[in-house]
Amino acid sequence: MRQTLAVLALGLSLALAQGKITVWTHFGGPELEWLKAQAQAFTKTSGTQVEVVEVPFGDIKQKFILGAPQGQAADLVVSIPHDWLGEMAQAGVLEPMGKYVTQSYLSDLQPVAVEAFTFGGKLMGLPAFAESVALIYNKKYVKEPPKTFEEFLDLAKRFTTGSTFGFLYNIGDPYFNFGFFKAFGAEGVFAKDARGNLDPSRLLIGGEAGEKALQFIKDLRFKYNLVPEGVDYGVADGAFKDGALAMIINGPWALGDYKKAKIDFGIAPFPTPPGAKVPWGPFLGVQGVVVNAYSKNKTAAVNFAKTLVSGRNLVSFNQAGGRIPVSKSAVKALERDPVVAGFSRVFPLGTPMPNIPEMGKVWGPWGNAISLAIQRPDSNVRKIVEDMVAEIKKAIGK
Amino acid sequence: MRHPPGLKGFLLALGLLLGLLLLSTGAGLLAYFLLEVYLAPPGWTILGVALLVLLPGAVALGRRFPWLTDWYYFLPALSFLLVFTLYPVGLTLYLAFTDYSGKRNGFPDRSTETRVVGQEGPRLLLEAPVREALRCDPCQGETVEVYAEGHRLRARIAQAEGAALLLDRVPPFRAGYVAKVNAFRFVGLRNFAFILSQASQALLPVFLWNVLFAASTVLLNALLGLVLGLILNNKGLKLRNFYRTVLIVSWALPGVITVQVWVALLNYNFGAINRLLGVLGVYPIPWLNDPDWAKVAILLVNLWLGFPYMMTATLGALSTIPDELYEAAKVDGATPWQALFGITLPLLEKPMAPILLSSFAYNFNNFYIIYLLTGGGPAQEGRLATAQSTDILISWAYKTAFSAEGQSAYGLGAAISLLIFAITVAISLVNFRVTGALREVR
Repeated sequence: MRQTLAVLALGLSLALAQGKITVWTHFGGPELEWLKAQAQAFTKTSGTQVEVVEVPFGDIKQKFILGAPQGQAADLVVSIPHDWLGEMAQAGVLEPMGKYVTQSYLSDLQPVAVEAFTFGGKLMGLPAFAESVALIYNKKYVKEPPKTFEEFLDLAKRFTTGSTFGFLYNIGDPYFNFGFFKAFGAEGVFAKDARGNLDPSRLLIGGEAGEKALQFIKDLRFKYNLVPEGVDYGVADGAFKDGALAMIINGPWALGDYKKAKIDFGIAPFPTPPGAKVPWGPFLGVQGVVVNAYSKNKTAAVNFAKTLVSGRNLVSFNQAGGRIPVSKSAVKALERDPVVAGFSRVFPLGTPMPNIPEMGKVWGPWGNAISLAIQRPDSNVRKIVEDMVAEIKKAIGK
Repeated sequence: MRHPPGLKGFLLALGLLLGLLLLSTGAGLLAYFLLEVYLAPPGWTILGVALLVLLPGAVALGRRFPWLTDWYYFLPALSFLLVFTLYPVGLTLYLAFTDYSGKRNGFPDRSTETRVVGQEGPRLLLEAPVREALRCDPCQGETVEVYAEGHRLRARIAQAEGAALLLDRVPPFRAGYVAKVNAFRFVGLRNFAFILSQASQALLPVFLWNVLFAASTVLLNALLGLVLGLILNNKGLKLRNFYRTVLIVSWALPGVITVQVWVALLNYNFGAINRLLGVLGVYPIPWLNDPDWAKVAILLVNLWLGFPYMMTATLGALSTIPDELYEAAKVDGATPWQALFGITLPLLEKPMAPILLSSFAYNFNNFYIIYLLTGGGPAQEGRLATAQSTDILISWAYKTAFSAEGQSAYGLGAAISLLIFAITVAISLVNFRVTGALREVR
């Protein structure tokens, strides 16, 4: 009894001396195990206790923004998508990371990842892994990925039969469709100002680019007859899992299921649509680790964040869950992995999803415009784009 | 002293108790803020000080008004009411007149964090020009937070020139960083003006569909519930209890799940319902893809979800009608139809009216079926993205506050909620007046 008490007292005093940090995470399964193992290793080397708390992905942002100033949020979050960054930074809960990182660390990261985690000219978090959509094809049907749109159309039509589909994807969702807007001339959703910051007053997805892209999406349904009514994420994903679909636009998050369903798949960029100016390029999403600006134990939190995103640990993270790291050295170490190799051909084509809060006012009208365009064969694409731009401009200008 | 009689006594007691609670809470808050200047007290200091004031206060009040002590049993319930009902209501009222949102929440914007390189009284020298670093124009009058390890201070900018910043007070510590505070402010009626400016694209069509949706849902559900209730009430029906159990299943299953199953069943190309119709030779119906059919789909699914409630209510009301009435009618030679229209329906009217009215009020704000079944869609031309073909007022408020206007526009959301509250109250008052249900309930 006395011994246990002594041990407890010792443990307590150690904990008090070295402090304790809390980590919120939305990871599950093997990725959660990875994080817990990292936490244990960190405790061993630094003496700081690390408590890992699971928080549902959808709750993290709201809980963190409301709780951090009251001292009721974690010291760091593993991980947030970069498009939450602007809102969280403006709410004042993120610790700017620029003063903690070295130049050699930054130069090991892919530039788009740094760009994604920079808000208002400041690095607000440490990027860890990236994701984007790509053309995923079932090798049972498609031996070589289509290089041109004609090849793609030929394949897609050949496999659109009574029982199989050539090409399906979540056609109503702007996230899956951005690649077409980019191909028809929209470099991003917003233009950049002279200093490289996004300028919410200059919208690029309207005008001619928007019209052509919307017409192309509409053609996928009504001219090429590929994506019929009623296709959403669930239908397309389910068909691919059942092996009844030759090609889909989807991202790395779905690959675990495809592997489990024993689908032999390949990853490639979508071919350039007919009449497009530049190659197709998807939205790039980067997830990273952020530190609470109100943390009582900031030094330990920052140190733990830095260990998590080190190249070596990102390799073991990839082996746990298959996510694609943004560290150049980690990608190099994983170059024989077909998924990492496939997506590292797609990422350079992409554009980081805007991380400014104004993007929240774009998703609704944008998705709306796409649904309107594919609702009827006689939809007026020009009017739809004009209405969309007017609604977004009004919402942002307010 | 005796308990003052009637309403006067009730109001007096309530006033005294509320006053006591508010006084002790105020004392707790005051003590906390006074202590905060010198040390960092934990949050429960407020509670401790409040209790320290509350207990002697209650004893003293009990001496002055001896009859009040019986009312002390009411204190816990009253304090819960204050915290969980009155406080949110008050906060909603307050926020409706501000521009409070996720990015205007009264906290410093850390992306404007700028290092202080020189300090002399209230004058700070920053490492970069003030206007660019803090992203303010004009900077004068903006609130900033000055901080260093372990210290923080709010101050206003009195003057800004180049990289020099003149504050309206002297920081009592060595300043490390400065950041702009995203202050929220009173905007008067601007939130309401914004909502009304969307009237033709959002408020009016959404309101019309909202009324139609609630009214048709109540009517359809009540009709089906009535018919089934009458059939099941027939004592000659065999396996009555079996039918009753089966018919109640759709009510017993959690709607959050069944509505999503309906989404899959109603899918245009892949749903079971259209495939079934296809077998029968009917063209597929765009249940969730066409603005008008989506409305039909919502009413049908809501009927499936809601008729067991009406059926149960009908059965309950039917059991209160005495059998002698029917026997007397039979003796007088009335046909079953005459008994139905002469006895059953008139006697059902009174118990059913309050149920129908409360069902209307419930369906008027029935957020989850809209949100889960169609998400407000499909898209309709000429409408805002937040107010689509099947959006009702509450789903429009949700989308406006939490997905469109900068994702957490609490101020605007509060204003819409106030409007919905006013509309619901007005409709309910008209309903009660027209049907006289309020008198019946009393």
